[in-house]
Amino acid sequence: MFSFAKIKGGIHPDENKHLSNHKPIAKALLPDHVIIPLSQHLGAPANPIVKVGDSVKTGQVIAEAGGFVSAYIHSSVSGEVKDIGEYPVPHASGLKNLCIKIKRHGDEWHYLPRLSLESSADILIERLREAGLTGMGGASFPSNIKYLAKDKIHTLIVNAAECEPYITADDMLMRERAEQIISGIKIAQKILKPKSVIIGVEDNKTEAIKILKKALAKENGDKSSGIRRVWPLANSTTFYENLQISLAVVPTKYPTGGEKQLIQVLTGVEVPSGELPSSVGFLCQNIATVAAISDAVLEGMPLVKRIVTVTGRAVNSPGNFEARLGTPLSELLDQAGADQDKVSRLIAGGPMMGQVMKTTDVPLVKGCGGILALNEQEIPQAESSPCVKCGKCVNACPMGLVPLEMARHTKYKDYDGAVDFGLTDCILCGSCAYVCPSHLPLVQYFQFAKGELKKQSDQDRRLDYTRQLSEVKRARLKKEADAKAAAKAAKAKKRKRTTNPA
Amino acid sequence: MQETLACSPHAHNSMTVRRIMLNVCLALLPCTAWGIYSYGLPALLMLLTTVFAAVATEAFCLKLLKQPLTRLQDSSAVLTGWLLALSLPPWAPWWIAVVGGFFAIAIGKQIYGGIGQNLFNPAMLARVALLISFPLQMTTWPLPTFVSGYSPGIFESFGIIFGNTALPDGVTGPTILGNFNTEASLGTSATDFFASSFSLKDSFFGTTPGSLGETSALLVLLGGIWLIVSRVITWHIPVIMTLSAGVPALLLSLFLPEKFLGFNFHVFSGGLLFGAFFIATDLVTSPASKVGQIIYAFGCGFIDFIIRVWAGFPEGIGFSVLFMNALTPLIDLYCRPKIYGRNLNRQPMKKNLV
Ligand code: SF4
Ligand code: SF4
Repeated sequence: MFSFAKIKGGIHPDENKHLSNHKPIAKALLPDHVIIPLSQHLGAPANPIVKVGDSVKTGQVIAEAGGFVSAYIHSSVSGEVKDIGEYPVPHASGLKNLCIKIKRHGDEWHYLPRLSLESSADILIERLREAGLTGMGGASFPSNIKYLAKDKIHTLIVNAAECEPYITADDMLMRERAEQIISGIKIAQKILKPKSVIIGVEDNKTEAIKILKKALAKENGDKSSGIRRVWPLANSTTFYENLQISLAVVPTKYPTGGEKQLIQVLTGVEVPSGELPSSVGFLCQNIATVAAISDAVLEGMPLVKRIVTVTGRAVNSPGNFEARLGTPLSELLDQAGADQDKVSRLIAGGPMMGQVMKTTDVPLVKGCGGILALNEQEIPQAESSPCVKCGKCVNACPMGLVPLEMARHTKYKDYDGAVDFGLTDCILCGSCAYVCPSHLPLVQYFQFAKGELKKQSDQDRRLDYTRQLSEVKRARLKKEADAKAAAKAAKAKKRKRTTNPA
Repeated sequence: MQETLACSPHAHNSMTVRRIMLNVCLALLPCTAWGIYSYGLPALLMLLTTVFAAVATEAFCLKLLKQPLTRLQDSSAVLTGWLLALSLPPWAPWWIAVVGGFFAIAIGKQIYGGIGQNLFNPAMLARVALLISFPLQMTTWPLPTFVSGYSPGIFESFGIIFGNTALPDGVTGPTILGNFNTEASLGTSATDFFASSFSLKDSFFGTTPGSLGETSALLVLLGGIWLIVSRVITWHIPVIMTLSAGVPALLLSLFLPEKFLGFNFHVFSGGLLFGAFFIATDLVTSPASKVGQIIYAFGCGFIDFIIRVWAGFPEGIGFSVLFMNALTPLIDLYCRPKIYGRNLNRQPMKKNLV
């Protein structure tokens, strides 16, 4: 039914997953206080509905969705709201953002009523909203919105590729909670009624694949059918007929876990430029989100915790922790035995796309699967030199862009030129910068150029808006004037008629 | 632009420009060593003079352009000088070496704005300029010392390179490509020439006269394979370039064996292999995309073949590479990779529910 297609370009960075992939998921200690940002998702920030001094329970809503594309926020501990104010958040800008700070007194839960697979699709989607679910793979798109497009979806893709080096959170999740994942998929199937479901895993997670296969076979009634080997990738797809789920093992290569790349490698389909996967009938969901869906529906548990890998060579015992959202990274680093003197770079996310944190005071958020404390040897040192036009970036780019030209045009502030070479399609994956022998900060150029373009289009939109306003105003004035004139004319006519009866 | 916070990615394959250049130098060692063994001390002196001239010119230009001298560390000037020397006649006099080294760096590279900006391969630009300006010196080919039995001592060597010492009779000879051109004009058929004068073994191991670095096909291949293994280059350019000269040669020699020499002759003699692995693969002056590289490599090989067979020069690598260099910006413009989610006209693909 489906064919494998290779992704273009891509790289094979050192995986460094061995640091943490033998560590079972540990429950992180509950923090003294949590700092919960109101904007952990794509879209509008949430609106707080608690006041300073309120006491809240774990799982209680503390902020409501601030728009159509937005998400509910729940307290992740029980205690007292101490402050609603600006705190540093894990964002590249290093800026502060509105957060709710809660002092923990205990861990008393407030659950949503449990639902089951029998509930209707609409109720289930509403539950995703109530539970504050967002994508947990990094982009943090509110899940309920994705599922609202359910009529268009023919294929659900479960993203378990985890292609970022170092990070093992999804790997551990699959090893320890395969049943939960399967029940999450069943819920998604109930909502979407897709023709097929494909779980995509990179072939470096052998243990997780084994466990997942066993669990799937058991659910399926111990029979799997249609194992397919695809040449030349020597990887297999196993199809579980009763479940209507396929497990596809794909070659390890960064960035296979990118939404667009995974769809391409699993099905050969490309998502049209500028569109969402749903435009071609796909819904791509991170495997951690799938597990959270199961919790939200079957247990009535809102999204208040996640699994996060704390690793890097400045950490003495790297591991995978299940931690409450809003836990300051410093606490997690302490629990993993981070050696503050050795840390030369602290990153939220993976090494390829993660962002540098200036302080360890920032909180854990929904989309953060990894915290990296890298020592000096682990980070690239070389200084950048002029581009030698070697073309290595072109061959590494999974999107088929021409990074060297995009960078050159950006340097000369010719953003349209950069767009001509593909800037708008750049997913900022960093493959180009990884291979650049001149060590050019290519991603930095592209982020900057994208920012400038956005500024420009915002400005255009604002101009458009004012123009529209003034047009409306002009139209209204004209209409009024016309009306007045018409009235006058009518009156005049009337008068004429009265004075001059024919 | 804000430079304060390090930007992703926080990982790198640790390749640097310097490392690439040094890898190429490493790959050049076998054929260089063989060249020096074959042509003795004068060849070494010529090589050192060329490299010195190139590096000195680079330093001078950097100084003039007020750029940090640390740029020298990227070793690209060393490599340019070295490549140039390997493509010169082994006993070329010092002024050829100096003019060549200067020309390669100053005119071939720095005038364009330094590393990465040049349009033409600096070493080939210098070589062709020398060939046109000093045709006599550029076509005086000594025989390998173990063939002629004449191995100059220290004083003689300095004399040959830096002085005016005339070479004794019988120590020079034509390259095999040149030889064929002469013979053909005298009416010798290709078949006879091939049988009487060409030995695959000689060309393979390098016992015939030729440029300093290109006589031994075996050692050139060895270095070239190292370049591919160490991922400095990919196989595309060398393989396609070799084939696009070799295959037409093969076809023509099959149909007209009287007039044309075959695959082995064209591939293993002269500078084709050297050019394919070391010259045409120059990062700066070859196209960036794979498709572009394939077109470029085809052009380099095929034009070289045409020059060898129909033009006045016995060897055409320099010309063909320069010609394709000139086309590279155009190739790069038209051979962009297909963008994900867009069709070949770079318009967004249609939304259709598959
Ligand atoms: S960051 Fe952008 S340009 Fe660079 S490889 Fe990724 S998609 Fe291509
Ligand atoms: S990889 Fe770096 S040096 Fe090479 S072409 Fe791209 S930007 Fe230039």
